[in-house]
Amino acid sequence: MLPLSIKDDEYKPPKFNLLAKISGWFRSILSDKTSRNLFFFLCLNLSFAFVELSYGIWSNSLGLISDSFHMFFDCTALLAGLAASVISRWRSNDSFSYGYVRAEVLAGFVNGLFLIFTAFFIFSEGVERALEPPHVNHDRLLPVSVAGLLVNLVGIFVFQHGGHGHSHGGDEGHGHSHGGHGHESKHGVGHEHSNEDGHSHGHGHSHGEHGHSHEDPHCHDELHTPGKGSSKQILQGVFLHIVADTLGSVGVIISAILMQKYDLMIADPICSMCISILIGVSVVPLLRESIGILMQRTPPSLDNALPECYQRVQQLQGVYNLQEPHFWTLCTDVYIGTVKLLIAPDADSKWILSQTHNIFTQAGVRQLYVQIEVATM
Amino acid sequence: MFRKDPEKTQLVTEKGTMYSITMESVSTDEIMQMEKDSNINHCHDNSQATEDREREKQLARKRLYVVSAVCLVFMIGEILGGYFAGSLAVMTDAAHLLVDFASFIISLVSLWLSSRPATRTLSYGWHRAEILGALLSVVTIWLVTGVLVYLAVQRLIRDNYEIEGTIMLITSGCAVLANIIMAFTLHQSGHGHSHGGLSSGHSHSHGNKDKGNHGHSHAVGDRHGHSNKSNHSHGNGNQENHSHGNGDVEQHGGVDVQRYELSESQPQANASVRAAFVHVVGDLLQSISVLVSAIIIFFKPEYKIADPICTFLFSIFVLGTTITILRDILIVLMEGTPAGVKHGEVRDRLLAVKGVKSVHSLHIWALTMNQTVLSAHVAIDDLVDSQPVLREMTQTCFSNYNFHSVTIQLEQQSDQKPGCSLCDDPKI
Repeated sequence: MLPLSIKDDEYKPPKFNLLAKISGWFRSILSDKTSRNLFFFLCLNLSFAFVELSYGIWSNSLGLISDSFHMFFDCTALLAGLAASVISRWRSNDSFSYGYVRAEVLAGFVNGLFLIFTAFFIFSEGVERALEPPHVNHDRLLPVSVAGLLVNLVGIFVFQHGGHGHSHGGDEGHGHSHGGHGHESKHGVGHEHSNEDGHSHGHGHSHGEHGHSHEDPHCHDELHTPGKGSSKQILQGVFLHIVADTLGSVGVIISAILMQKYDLMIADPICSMCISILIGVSVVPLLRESIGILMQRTPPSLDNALPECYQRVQQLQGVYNLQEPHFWTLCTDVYIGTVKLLIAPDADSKWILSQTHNIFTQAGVRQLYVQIEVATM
Repeated sequence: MFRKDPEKTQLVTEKGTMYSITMESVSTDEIMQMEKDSNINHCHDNSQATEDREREKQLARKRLYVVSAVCLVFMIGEILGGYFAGSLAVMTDAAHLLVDFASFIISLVSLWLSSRPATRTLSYGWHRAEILGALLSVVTIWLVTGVLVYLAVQRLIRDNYEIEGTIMLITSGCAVLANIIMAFTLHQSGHGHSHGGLSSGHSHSHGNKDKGNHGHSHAVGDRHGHSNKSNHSHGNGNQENHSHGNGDVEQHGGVDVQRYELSESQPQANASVRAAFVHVVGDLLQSISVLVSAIIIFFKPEYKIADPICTFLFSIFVLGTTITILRDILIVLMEGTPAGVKHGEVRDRLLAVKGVKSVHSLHIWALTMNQTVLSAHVAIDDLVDSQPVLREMTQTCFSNYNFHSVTIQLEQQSDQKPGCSLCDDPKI
């Protein structure tokens, strides 16, 4: 019997549906609190930048145009953070066996780099202006700077938890506490560590969490899910960017006031230079951390725990030697390690394997690869 | 070379420090005994990757030195010329060359950094410094392009710029010449080396036993330590045969059969040299754009709007050239599987080893362009002796690919949990 109709639809290759893809991204963005905040703040910033640009073109003010370019630059930082928070949630595949979780570290690093460049540009502008003070008319710039400041204050309020690193051990807290105190004095915003941004520690250093029994060396008894803690780098980068922008606006306002009231022309370049130095200093912890992660550095928070673990493993019965330990951070709070053990021919390798896993899990390393080599005698 | 002082064998690896308590846990006699009787392939017998890397770095360093010197000479020439001619255009071009020079220095510094020995905190060494340096270079390209676009927009809006046609023509001509020389250097010395210097470099026999099929050409750790910048396809050397790219693949035994496979296995060039090359190409494109607009303006001075428009157009080209290297850098930094290695294929090879029941948590990632690391959990048959299986799997890995290190955790089949979702393969 011939078929009465031929439905080809199921045999056609799936069309590249752009709309479906974009709506998928939107759903992903709106599902998570962090990315939702980022998205709305990005929209706010973008619209403000467009308004400033159009006003500047209409009134032919170069200062406004350059300021709007600066805002666009900031929007790229926000965009990078947003993209990273969406990308890091993608599933792993053959080309990226660990998934895409490193995106957040990269976003933090790129943000840090941009901030350094921004600080450098502001500094050079300040030097330029100090050498040849231009007669810039600040009148039109003032209300716009105030509006920009308000927008940034909104950002700071929304992202204030991004700057206070919820790290477990080695807390490079200097940059953050500086920023924090600065905020208290300036904006009188309290520092309740409310949990709205959800820095829940999906894999804290809990000791009882692993479900191993001692006999069972199966490696996946603990779940590995990158929780909210993994957005720490992104939020830190974004937060620092917003702080830098705020400082810029504040600097412009202060120097405008100084110039108008006291006719201190030198105030402008000095403000710029101070601000650029502040920005540079505040970025250093973020950069150090993300560079450390990207260089496959041993996790700083494990620096003390690891030698102890090595000792414990070497004291296990039958273990001759522990060789080539490599431990590194995949993303915030996710540590991965490889180790080679040389054991005696009569040792119980299953037991040694399970014990080793236990020892390192207690230290916080969930993914461990132990290659056991038996010495021949 | 690998049979070091037996007393030190356990404590010192080629890469430097290795954590170990003291000799308490094992006596000297036992170690010497182990050393003599062991048929274990020492885990660093297969250090092809390390040797290749050394060669690659030497080559890269030489090329970068030459190119930095050329750049410096032209830059000084342009600064002097611009000063005496009083022309801004020449000075801005000199500034562009300065940025290029800075990025070459960044590349050299990151190459030097990556030679430093491994430490306790950086257990893999400083290899990643090269990738970060390359990323920094590419970011500076983007920045410079952004600044140029900004200036061009400014010009379009203000429309109060003067263009001196003749000086612009001469400057851009010189700049194009300089960039061509640099591009040629970065490009040519690689090619010249491939036929000359490297064949001497291949007189050593490959320490690995080529157990696996020779039919596959894999680019990871192209065994010739060959740094190319653009995509030259190479076949893999079986024993002493090697073929060189640039389109002319020498006919060595079995290689022509693999030619259709060559396109998929592109060797990965040294990241620093690639970044430098991309810089030079970008500069070349921008000089060409200046040349084009200079010619237009020279013959038709009223079309001075050609200047910003050319800048826009060529900026887009420049950003396009950065895409390939940016993609490769991102793959390395995201701990992705490097381009020359296929996850599924490695998995199949491991599964093909006798006694292996399943492979999970297979992760392949790169330290830098040609240094790949593999780690896996493998479940083997309960009744099979683990050491020969381990040895064979390690051997398979090293003979077919050029891994930097391989770590395989063996588990018993009886311990596997059938429903564990984390043991599933990553979805394609």
